[in-house]
Amino acid sequence: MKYSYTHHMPYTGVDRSGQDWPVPNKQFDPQVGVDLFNRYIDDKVYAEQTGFDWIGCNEHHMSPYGLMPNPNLVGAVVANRTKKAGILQSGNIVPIVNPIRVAEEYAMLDVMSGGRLVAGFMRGIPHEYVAYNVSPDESYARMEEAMALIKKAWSEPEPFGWEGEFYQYRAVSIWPKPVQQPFPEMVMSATSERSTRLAAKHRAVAGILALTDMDDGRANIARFKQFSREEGWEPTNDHIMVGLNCCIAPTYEEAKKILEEGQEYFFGVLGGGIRTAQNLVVQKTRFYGTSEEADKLKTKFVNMRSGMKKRSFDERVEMGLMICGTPEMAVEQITRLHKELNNNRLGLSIKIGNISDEHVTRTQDYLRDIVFPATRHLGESDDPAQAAE
Amino acid sequence: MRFSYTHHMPYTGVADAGQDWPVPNKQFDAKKGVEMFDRYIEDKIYAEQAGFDWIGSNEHHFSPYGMMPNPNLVGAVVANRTSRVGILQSGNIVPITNPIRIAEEYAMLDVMSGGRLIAGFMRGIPHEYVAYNVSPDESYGRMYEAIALIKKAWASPEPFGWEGEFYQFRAVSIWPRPVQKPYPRILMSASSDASARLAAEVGASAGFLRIADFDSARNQIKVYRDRAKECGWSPTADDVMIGMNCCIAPTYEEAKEILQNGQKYFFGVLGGGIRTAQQLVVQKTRYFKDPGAAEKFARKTAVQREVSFDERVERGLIVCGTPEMAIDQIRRIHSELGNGRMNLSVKIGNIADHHVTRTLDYLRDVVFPAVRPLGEGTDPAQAAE
Repeated sequence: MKYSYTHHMPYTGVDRSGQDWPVPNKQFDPQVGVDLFNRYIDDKVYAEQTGFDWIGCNEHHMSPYGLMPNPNLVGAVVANRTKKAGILQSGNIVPIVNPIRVAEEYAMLDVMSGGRLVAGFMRGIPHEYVAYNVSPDESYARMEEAMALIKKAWSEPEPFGWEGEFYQYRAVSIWPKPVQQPFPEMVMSATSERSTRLAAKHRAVAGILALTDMDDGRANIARFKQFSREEGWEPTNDHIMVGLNCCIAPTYEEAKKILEEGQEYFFGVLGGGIRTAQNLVVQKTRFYGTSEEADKLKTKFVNMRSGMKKRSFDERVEMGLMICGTPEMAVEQITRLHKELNNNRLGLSIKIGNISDEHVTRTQDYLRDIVFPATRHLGESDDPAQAAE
Repeated sequence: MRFSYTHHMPYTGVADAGQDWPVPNKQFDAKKGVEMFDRYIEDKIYAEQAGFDWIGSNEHHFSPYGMMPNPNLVGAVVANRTSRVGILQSGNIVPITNPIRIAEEYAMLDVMSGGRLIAGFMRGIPHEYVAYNVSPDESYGRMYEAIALIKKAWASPEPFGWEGEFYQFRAVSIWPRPVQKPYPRILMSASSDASARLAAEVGASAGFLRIADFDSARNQIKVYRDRAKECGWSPTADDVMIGMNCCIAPTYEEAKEILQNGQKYFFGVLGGGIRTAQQLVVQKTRYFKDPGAAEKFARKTAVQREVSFDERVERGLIVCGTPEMAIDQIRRIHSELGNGRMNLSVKIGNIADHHVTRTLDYLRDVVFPAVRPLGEGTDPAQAAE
């Protein structure tokens, strides 16, 4: 089992941030922001010492939800201050930025880390499109063209031109090039059918975030494997990464209290403006593909909070949708998850909402001391042929 | 006198990179690239210990000339690993990039450094436009609009929309915001009349990467100050930064040999493809607004080639020699131009990194202590003359 540390660096200096989009930034107190930012970077660097295999940064705009409009700046610091961990950029929101810029920055990160970049290609969530005034309807088409262009920029031995529907360049030859050849390792979301097809096509690690139940997760993974076979390759279980919230404490009650309060802040304060934007976008666009898919995902995503309210916290832990409790409970939960889904990668989000940074560190220390040693072996004896079933 | 350290992080692993544009990247050896990049970042951080006030990173595309297509990634590392120096991003090439992205990234850097960002707004050199397929004809128009938009994104107390000629955004409210109020210090090039005027209009400090001679530099500074006055403000000596190549060694002969070889590599190898692209662009566009600006630009480059090295040192265009000579040269520049800042480029071409470090150590130990007092107690009005 390999672990990934995701910390989206929220601004937690407000008790309420309103429901407007964009969230007015006058609430940003620079001194608080400076302290938070530095602490968060140190936490990310610390994750290498606590045994995480990958350290992740992601892109968000115009909201306290995340303070990394370009996560590559933080990825650069993490790359410079670590030695072994994969630098997971999960990642640039490809359809809303210049793809050559993405190719160049990711190449810089791969060089700065000595070849440790894990290149995430994200489609983003709808409000990011509003922020940069890019039509969400174009998101898949842009994503597909941009990814082909980025991979060509990374690997083509001679300068080349590109005349596409969305992007045109006379002659491309990026300096520096990535270290990893022909491409850095890649990660993509595999939650919708179309993005799963893309992940399969590009032989990326499939990220399953926001697991709402095991059957759903299993179906997504099966679909990814099937699409991959159609593309002519067999994913291993190392290509499956599930993402869960994680909180570990001396007792279940304490872990539950900490995480519940963090989730309340996450949805209520950090998520307010984002939901407003999403409601706007989802109603008026084809961001989610067909109307059937849109309805399905709307329930899952836009109404996630009320969806969660339908099930109690304890129920969600029972269902295996969170890692929460004592270290021993966490070991059981992770073992059970792996049994259900055969994922050899697990992304743990520990800084949920305004959980105190001391509690984040404590969870990491439990992971390092008890949980990781007890679960590393999971998936080690995978027979690639068996993994396919 | 305050000092800025600019290191544009060239890839020096090839003997001859060819004259094509773009420079084919198959020549990029990843292992060498990794080592160089690492070393260069350490050199930049070392500059704080060596007594520099600012550490600079700049943006270049598609060539071994510089390995920072986005210098803000390197700026982030320097910010995180230093505690006092200004983080000079000199800087994002504004017309070819989403201005909101620049506003956001610069705000990140200001937060990451605790308020030490110096925000450079660069117009870039022509080949960068070819790289990103943006018309060089639009460079000034885009600059004007983008800078206004970026400043507003930094300082506006409420979310706002923007419907411009080049940029349209429905509602802007960047997170994080910068630390510095009302916004970070800005630096812009003042090497042509048009850019000197723009720098003054923006309220920016003025930077000169290198000068052709004292007279033309004095003229540009005057254009800058006069326009600033028209706009209602008075730049101080601190707002004027003169750039020079710098090489210090135990003897003049040794410093000259090192720097000459470095410059040869800089122009011959690193500059080849860039010149090809520039000739293409300069011939066919209105990149240079003022009549005669293209000729001035060509002349500056030509001076490097037609005038001998010793002559250029004599004319005060390079800081080169023993530490004592460097002190004299810096004093002379200051007496000619009244500048409160100097930008020293020490890694020129493929100068050995240990020679770069040696120059920094001479600066720290001998030169800076002797020249720091220059300009202290200067009346800004006097400096204007």
